[in-house]
Amino acid sequence: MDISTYTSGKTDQAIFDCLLQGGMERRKGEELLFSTYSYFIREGTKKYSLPEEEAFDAYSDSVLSAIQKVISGNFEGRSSLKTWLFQIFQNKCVDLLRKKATNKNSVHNTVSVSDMLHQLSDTAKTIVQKMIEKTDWELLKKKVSELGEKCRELLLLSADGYSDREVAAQLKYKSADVVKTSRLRCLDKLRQLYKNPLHDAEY
Amino acid sequence: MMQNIEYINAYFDKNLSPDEMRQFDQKIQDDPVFADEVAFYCSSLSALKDQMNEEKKKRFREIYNTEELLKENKPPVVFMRRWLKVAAVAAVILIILMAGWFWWPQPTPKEMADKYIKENFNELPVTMGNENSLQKGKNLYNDNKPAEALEQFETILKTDTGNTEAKKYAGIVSLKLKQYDKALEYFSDVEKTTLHTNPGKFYHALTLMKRGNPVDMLKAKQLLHEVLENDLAEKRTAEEWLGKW
Repeated sequence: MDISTYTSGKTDQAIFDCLLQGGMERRKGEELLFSTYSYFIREGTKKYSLPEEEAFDAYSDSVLSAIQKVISGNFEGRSSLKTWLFQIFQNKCVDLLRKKATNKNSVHNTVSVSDMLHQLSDTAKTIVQKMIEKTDWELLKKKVSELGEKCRELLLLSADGYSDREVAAQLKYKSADVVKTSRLRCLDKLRQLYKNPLHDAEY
Repeated sequence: MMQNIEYINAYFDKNLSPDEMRQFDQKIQDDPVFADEVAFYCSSLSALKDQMNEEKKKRFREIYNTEELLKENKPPVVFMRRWLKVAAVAAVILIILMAGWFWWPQPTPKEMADKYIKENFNELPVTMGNENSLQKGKNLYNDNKPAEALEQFETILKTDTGNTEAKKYAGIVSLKLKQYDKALEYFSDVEKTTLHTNPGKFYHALTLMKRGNPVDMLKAKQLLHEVLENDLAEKRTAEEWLGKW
């Protein structure tokens, strides 16, 4: 897809170029996207009477969601980046208002988990989902922070959608295969830490 | 355990064949320990993703705070820019209006004269009551018989050479008939009389404007100035025309 066909300006094109380039350029693209349309936050406070902090959260979530879609090739380009992002932002604001109205605060965003399970049969999906619901997210988060810095960094980059090859380039690993082996070892280590809190922390 | 993680990873990386994927699905249903490992794999990726997003949000917050700080430190500049924008737009509109005023095609003296004649000399004022000879001339003119009306006014002037009203109407009818020399002669005579509101000079200028020779134009302009300076009849029209000249 030639994204330039669907974008309205040079800035949008620069954002797409950086995001799709990967590595440190992707980080630059993320920040550029955030800055370019950060005035939406003020729109959110005016239009939806949200406190600045909540409008900021809604906007940040919108930017992160947009980044994810662009990277995974799910941006269809039916409208300009601005229009598309604003639509996502509006939906986030409305969701936020609904949550406030029903007094529901989600502890953990499980959307990404549901996305992962879409290949499973309904029976298998139900089994896994029920087990996931039992996850102690705070403990898991704590155990992630207890992993060694290298392991943590590797896992975070992988979870952010970087390929093993990109992670190898960024973290100076010899090859993508080494990254893959290290990543799986780190995950296994995290599991041991989570399941057995007395397990040796540093890895 | 590592073997299971590799297997789970291969599934989510879509590196398994359709048959292997079906077996994977079945194993979840048959083996609770394996199902728990799959659930943990998904949970940990989700938690890591959330943590990554939290870190990104922190970065975004720093960017946003810096931007806001910069904005707060520059309120006068922002205000000035907005103010300047408004001023610039107003200046452009003003320039366009002024340019329109100067360059918008103004009517020529001849066009001004035509308009005046059309608006003022279409009909001559008549009075109710017995029809006298002057009235008869005006009625003929109003009945669209200008030549006969002129003959009537000239008949009056043969017996009453000092009749200023007859001279005025004879001049007007002559102007309508495009007999400019004759009209000029009559209006010049009217000019010389001591009427309280003497339109002679103005009509004289009007006739010259209608005839439209270059010398006529100069003379007409001079006469209009005289109308204005001497506070004569049709002073306002003279002032308006001179403004457009």
